[in-house]
Amino acid sequence: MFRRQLMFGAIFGFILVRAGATDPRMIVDMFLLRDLHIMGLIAVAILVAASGLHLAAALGLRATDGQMVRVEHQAPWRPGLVLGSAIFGLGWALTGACPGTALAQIGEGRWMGLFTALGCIGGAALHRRYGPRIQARLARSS
Amino acid sequence: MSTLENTVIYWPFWLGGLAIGLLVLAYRLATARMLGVSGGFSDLCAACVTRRAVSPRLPFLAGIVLGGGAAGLLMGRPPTASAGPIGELMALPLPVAAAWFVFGGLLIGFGTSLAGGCTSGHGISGLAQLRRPSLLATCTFMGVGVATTWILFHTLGA
Repeated sequence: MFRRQLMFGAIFGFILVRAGATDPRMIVDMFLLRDLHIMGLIAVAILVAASGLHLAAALGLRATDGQMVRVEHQAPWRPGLVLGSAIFGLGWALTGACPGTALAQIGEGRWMGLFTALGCIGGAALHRRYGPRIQARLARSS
Repeated sequence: MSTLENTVIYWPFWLGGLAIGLLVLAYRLATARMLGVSGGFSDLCAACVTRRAVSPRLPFLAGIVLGGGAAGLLMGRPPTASAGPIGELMALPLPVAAAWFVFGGLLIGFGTSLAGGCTSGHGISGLAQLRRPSLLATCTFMGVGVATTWILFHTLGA
């Protein structure tokens, strides 16, 4: 499973760089609504993945765990969903990267990605420490 | 440099999107998981604390770095190419530039952990499963990204 995960990660990282997702200028142009290349990329990815998933489920295809593919439309509500997404969006705009593209940037040699990724690790660590408390407070107030 | 120059260098959006969509499917079948990155950073923290790397997301994250490297080599351009205004931040003194990106990364790491997903987790995997929370998450982080950039551009004139 280690090699398989590594391989899939490598393909994902390759696509991210090759398609321009690691280019901070592309991200800025997307957020300025000047060039919707990245948005188009994400939209097509969603369309293809959604179609394929639902087709796989309809065909009764099985994954390697032996279970048939089922599309789980329901997901548990997280109290921190909106606040967390807003904070993430802010970080994305400031750095031009998201968790995946920051890692791909490191491989590509964009050193900003290294600092962004280090920050991501720090942010995840902060969440491990303070996240449950914040989520409890958000759950109480909603 | 015009954006047209960028689209000449990079795959067209539909090809990148097709590739990612097919990857999500292959990943789902081969690992029984939906593709997502942000949880891997939490797993990395957990692994550092427990000194045991049990999460499958850790090799996945390592793979992203390697794959990015391969693509960079193949494309043969200097990594500073096309970086735009954010790229110009790297020209600042290193401690300042590093602080900016680390701070931004803190927001990303904390925010995605709180939200339970990122562009790939909520944006692609979540929406591919037609999940409403993921739609809300995606609209929120996209909307804040747009708003932040507009504010920065119109106040700083970047």
